[in-house]
Amino acid sequence: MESFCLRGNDFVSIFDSDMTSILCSYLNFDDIMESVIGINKDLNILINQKLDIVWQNLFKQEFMFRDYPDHRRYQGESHFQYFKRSFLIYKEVRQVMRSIFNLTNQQSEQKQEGFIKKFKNRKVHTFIAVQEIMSFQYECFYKNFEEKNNQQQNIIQFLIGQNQYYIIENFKLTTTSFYDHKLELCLLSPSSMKMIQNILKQRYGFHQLPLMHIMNYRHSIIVDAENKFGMGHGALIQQGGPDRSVVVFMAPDILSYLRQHNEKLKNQYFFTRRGIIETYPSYPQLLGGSLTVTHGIKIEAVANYIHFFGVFDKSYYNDDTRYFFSYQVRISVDENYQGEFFPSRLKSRTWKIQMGERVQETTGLGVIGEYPLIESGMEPFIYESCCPTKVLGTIMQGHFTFEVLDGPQKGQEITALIDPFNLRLDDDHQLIANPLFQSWMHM
Amino acid sequence: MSKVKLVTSEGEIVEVDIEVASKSVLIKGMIDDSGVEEEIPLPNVKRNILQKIIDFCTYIKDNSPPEIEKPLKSNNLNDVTTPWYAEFVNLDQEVLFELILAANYLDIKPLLELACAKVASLIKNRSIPEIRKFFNIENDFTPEEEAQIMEENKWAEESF
Repeated sequence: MESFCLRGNDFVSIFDSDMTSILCSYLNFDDIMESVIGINKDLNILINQKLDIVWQNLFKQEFMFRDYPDHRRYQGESHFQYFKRSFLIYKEVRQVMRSIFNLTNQQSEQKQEGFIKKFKNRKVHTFIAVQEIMSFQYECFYKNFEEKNNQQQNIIQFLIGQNQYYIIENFKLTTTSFYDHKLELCLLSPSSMKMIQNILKQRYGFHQLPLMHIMNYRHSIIVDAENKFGMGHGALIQQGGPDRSVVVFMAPDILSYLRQHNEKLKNQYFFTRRGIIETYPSYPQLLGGSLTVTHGIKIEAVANYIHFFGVFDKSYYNDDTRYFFSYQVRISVDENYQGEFFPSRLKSRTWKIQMGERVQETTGLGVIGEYPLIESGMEPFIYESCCPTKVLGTIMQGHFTFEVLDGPQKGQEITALIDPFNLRLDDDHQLIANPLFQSWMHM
Repeated sequence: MSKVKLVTSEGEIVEVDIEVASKSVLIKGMIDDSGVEEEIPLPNVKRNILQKIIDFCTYIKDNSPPEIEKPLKSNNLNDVTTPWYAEFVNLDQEVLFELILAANYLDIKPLLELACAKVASLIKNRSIPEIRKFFNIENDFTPEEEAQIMEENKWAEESF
């Protein structure tokens, strides 16, 4: 106290460590970085090095908890270092999300705008703020993900009561189509997240953190902050369909998943020629698919695992295990074909399906009830079908027969081959028995 | 109600109710130790500043202390506390600083917090050159050092 008597009546003299500490407690992170830390050398050193408590306070302001199941201060780490490390993770999540949103819009006809929160508005939505436990990356995600339906909160409350989550705007990542099914994988807005959280609680009794959902299907991707599934704190777990005894481990954490998805978008991995981002890859070989050219007819075939329709619990479903796959076939004239390609019509299909030791062969007329005409310059004929199988790693191959409609070979039959393609899980995905499963959950 | 005698830096003796004066932890300590008979010298507190302090301590005797949410929501104290408190620290910078010095010396936490909140409100949303000018703070960085500070702080900014 004595030294205060002799102190000068100016800012620099008054604002020593203690006083600067009090002063900073009234300012937020942006204020301190923009207006205080660069004023003069003393303040710079105080804040950057000496006053670690300032950073402890800033951490409380910026993030919901002191530590998380997947993120905490290391032994010997200062609050400043912890804050900086944490903020950099938040920034990385932001960067990847922005890239995903931009690339998704570039590669889709339908534009989805306004899903990134402003940098200076990092506060999470109330529905997130009331969660009692979450992973750090989950919070970082929602510090960036905008709730687009803010002006209609009373309507949202009503919709929550009615469990009508699909009406709220969510960010669509990919689509898987086959027959009449359109499985749209979306990143959930806070409102939708809350609705799905309620539904999961009502149905199964669990309190979970949904991050993504296949709209209109009972299929969610949750973030396992508490490591209930045993794949790590913050792991992404897919659970869906009538049979919940098996789940899919998708990624060790949110950032891994986002980074991977971002890389795929950057590399044009997804098939996007129809104006939407489909889960089938552009290059079939990337997912165990095949590309075959015979007599100028190019056939691409690739399969896609769909967990929702799987059957795993033999004791309940008096049926064998069934892994469910859809597959996409694209038929076109090979752009490198030498000479003139004469229009040809598909007449029949033959599939040879190898399930482990067993081989099953089927033949039928046309494909999905159609007899497509293949000719130069046209858009590929694309169709999807499905293949349930007891064996992961089932191999499908076959051929289509075509009738040549013009030219010197008119009336003749040609055979276009479909090289073997694999029915297997995405790389890095794993099927695991659901440790939380109880038989009453088959509903 | 019993009174205690406080002596300002100009030598003036001011009588203050014990209950009011005891809001200062320093003064309360002295009263507890030596009773109220002796005058308490405050060699670095001027009369006008002491009056402000008496006004504050009288007010908080009967009213709840300023509870200002941290961090400040805006740079206008009227948004974060009652009109009386906001107006109380609406002072010249020089007087404000003398008040801070006195509040710190006398150990009156609510007043110190309020005054610091006021300074914070004057800093918030201002650019660094403005703040240096307003508070008469010398920029002791060389241009190279300033550039280096900006580089070091890039982690706090949005990256593209």
